[in-house]
Amino acid sequence: MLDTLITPSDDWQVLAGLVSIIVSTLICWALARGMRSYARHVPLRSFTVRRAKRALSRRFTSPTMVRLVGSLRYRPAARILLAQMRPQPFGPRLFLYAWAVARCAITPEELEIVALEIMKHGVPCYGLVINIMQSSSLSMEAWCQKWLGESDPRFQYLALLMGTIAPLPAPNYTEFLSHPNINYRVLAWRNTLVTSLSPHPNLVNRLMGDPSWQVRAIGARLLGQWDTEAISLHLRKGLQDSHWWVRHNSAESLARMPFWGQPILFQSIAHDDRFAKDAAHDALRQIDERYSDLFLDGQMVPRIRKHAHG
Amino acid sequence: MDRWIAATSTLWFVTADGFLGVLVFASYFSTWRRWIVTRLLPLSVFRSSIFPPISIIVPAYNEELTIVESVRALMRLDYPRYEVVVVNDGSPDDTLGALCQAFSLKPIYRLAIKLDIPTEEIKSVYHNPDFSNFYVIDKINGGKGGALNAGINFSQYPWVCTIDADSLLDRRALLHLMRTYAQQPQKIVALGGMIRVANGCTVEQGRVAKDRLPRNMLATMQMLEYIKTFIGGRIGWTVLGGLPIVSGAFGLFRRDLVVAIGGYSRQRPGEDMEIVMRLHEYCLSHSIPYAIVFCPDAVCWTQVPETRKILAHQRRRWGRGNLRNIQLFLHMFGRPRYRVVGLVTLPYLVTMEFLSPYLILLTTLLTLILVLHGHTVPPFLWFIALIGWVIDFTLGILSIILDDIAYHHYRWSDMLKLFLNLVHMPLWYYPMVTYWRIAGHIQLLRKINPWGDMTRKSWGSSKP
Repeated sequence: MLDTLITPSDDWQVLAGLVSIIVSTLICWALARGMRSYARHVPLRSFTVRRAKRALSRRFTSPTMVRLVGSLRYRPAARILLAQMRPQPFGPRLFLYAWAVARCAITPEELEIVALEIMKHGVPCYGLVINIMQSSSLSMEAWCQKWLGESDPRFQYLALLMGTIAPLPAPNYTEFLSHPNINYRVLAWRNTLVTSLSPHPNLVNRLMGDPSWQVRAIGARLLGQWDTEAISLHLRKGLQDSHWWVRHNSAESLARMPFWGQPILFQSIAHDDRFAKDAAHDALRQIDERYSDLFLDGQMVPRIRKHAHG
Repeated sequence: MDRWIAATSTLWFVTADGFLGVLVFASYFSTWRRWIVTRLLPLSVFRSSIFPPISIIVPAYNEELTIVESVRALMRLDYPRYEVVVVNDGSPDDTLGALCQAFSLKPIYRLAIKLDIPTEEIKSVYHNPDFSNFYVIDKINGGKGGALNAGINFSQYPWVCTIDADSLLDRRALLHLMRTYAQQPQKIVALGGMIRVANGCTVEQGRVAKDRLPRNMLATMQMLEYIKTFIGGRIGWTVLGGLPIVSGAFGLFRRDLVVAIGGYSRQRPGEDMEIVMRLHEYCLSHSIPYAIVFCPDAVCWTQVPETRKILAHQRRRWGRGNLRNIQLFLHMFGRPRYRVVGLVTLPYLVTMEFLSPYLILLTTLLTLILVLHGHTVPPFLWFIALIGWVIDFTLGILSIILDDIAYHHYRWSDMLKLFLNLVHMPLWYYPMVTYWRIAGHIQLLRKINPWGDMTRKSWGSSKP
């Protein structure tokens, strides 16, 4: 027996393991019980508010404290949090401070100050600003409308970005359709086309004649929602654009237009240049893989000609 | 005079080896990050057709022996959508005939070519519908830049990949490039691939079947040089954000930006460095957020010169190209507006690429004068030379080890041979290359600008 205790066998080790598991489970259970009774008897909110107040009396930087103050929406902490947020570099801690300070700030003016502070970190942070604005009393549409009228270009850009989530009626974006910055124009055209019922022919002309291929490409993609003759003709011009993305998006849009668009794709394959042919071929292949096989067999062109003329 | 030599040598030694050390260590850190990303983004994702298609442009001049094998390799690439455009730049040999015969090409008429960039006249375009993504352009001779411009005009996809006709692209090279591109799709405007030496390798059906070290000593030296430059240097330059060159043998560019800067310069040599520097200049002066990166996973195999005569031609050409580009972009030197390119890249090019051969020459001459006048060589010079050699050896070993761990697995015997060759490399190879570089500078100043001969071997014969 003594020998067994001194050099424990595998069985003894298993037994010791089981005992330690049981003991640790009991300890955890007791602790959990104790915590529950403590929570029942102590008012948790007053306890945490007390902690927050105590923390505010001195400089606090612990993420836990920031999270606590933010979750309590403890309004007096807004100023201190904002002061502490200012020197933070771009990173997770800035995001935490932004979230906390946005919860503590109540009025739209205060939120605007927070937004300005965050926007100092550049365009990658604009998404964060939109997120925190969603927690304010003003609706997204109202923010969007308000900021479109601002003279600060950063707020205008933010408003255009917000427009992708909470679209305003198309006329709001008119002045940005010829903005010198391509990013502004892309967003403005996108928001305009998403919100308009049917774009005016002059507007489509302007869109597909934009000097930037990014604008033409997004235009070509969005125009596919209207299956009309006028738009299909514009998209046919897009098939011969100098940039691949415009040709590709035009072809995909035409493929989405069964009445006016798809016949144009067939006509392009039979008549247009190599660039248009390639784009049309891709789009048709996505509609039906059989088109691809027919191309390989060399049977497609006669059939397409027949289809296009017929 | 002793003090002068000491000051010159020490200054050069500290700046050169210190900066090269920084680049190697930056490469190590970057490789760790890349290692994690490659595990997160498996290559199979990039076989999806949503990734942008690529036009591969192959300028060819007197490439009769290698072109067919190179095109066959290009037709077997692992990438969802691409086209291959070979530009025959008025070759006097039978490059066009070899291609027409191998792929049964026929001239096609009424073909649209967008004249975005001015080039020489295009005589005709050849195509075979059986190879739907392969075209050959036959044009009047106008140099590599002109041929690339013609290819860019003809290309229809948003990314253009330029490769040399005597190179073999690894099957997954484009996938690797696109994986790097997918990490910063809004920013990346150009990517460069890794050039590996194919001398000594066995090539079967357009693929490197067995990779072995070259038997030729000059080719081995160049292989070591490539490893040190690409693995120890260009990864580090990418981290710093001031990559000065994407190798002309294999690079990928955003087509719209290349068109916006007017395409390749038709003045040779050094057009590969010039286009990258012009991209830097264009993006920085137009406040376009951009990145030009080097991707060590994407591999292109090439044949390097095996004789001193051909190597001398090549190095003189590189010397001329470097000096011409330094002259062209000297206005960016030290200007904060051009950020890393103005503050680090240009000073590096001026000191390391242009001045360093002359500093080495000056120090050697002064030492010789001292010896001829009956003085002994000062001991600190021996010391500096020894330390310089040790650091060069260490950086070389670090580059080879990094290459072996992360990108390319070597056999133990090959590693040992490479280490041994590193020992004597500074004794004869560096002085020889330095001499050719200075000769290239002199040629540029005397306006002598030949391309030089480059004897090709058929890929079928490149066996050990």
